[in-house]
Amino acid sequence: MQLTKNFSLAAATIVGAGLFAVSAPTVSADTTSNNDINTVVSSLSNGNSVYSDRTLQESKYGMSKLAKTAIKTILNNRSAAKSVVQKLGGKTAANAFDRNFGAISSELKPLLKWADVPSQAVYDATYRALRGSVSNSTAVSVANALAEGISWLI
Amino acid sequence: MDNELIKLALSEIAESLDDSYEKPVSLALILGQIGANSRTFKDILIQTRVKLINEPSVDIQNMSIDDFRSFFKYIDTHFERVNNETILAVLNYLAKSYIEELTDVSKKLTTEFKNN
Repeated sequence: MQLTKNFSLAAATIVGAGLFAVSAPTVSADTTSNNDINTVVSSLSNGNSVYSDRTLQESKYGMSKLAKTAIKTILNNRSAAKSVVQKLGGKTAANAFDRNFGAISSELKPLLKWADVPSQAVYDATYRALRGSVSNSTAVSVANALAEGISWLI
Repeated sequence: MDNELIKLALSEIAESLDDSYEKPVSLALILGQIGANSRTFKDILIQTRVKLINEPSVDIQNMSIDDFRSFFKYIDTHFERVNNETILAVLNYLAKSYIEELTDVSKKLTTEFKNN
């Protein structure tokens, strides 16, 4: 199977409010190509970034109010946060998040006192909480999923 | 120590640990060696899961090395010119440490590549 590079330049359609769910019609001369993969890659090729405008906007550093609201949501809604971690980081990451929720909460709470809370601070706090108790790759997965997924939580 | 020396030192350490595309020792090092940055590292973890693993319409088991190169290329254009070994190294490390769902396809592609 070969991916054709003849991707459609037609505008991608943002599906619902999904941050990543973007699809675009593809025009392929190769009938053996995987159209689903084409659609995925086509959606990525539509712009310079893999993110939709909304995601880009929300992922900018300094979105303090957004981050604080998300942190409060994490602290108050463990299952919703676990669900987001699972979607972005996988099952192992979600289980590690759940098992170490107390430690993660303890690291995230002080961030609420900060004037600005960049997503990197959420990453660092989560990684710090997990360091030593889970493997490095699992700690990275959880921290990355939580930091990237905070905009999903509000 | 300047950044270039740090990169060289990490490459030497990796080599001493028998770094290879079949058994890469660090995803961050692979990305650093092709000129990517930490943003790419994070994007690859998230986007691979969201766009490929979580997407039921995508059959990752039938993706080729070129498919993955195309996918990674739109996360970071540095992937446009990387060789097949680098794509396999990324896949093998992702499968080993971050996205176990890639295990079967990474093994299959590595075996096919070695046999060709």
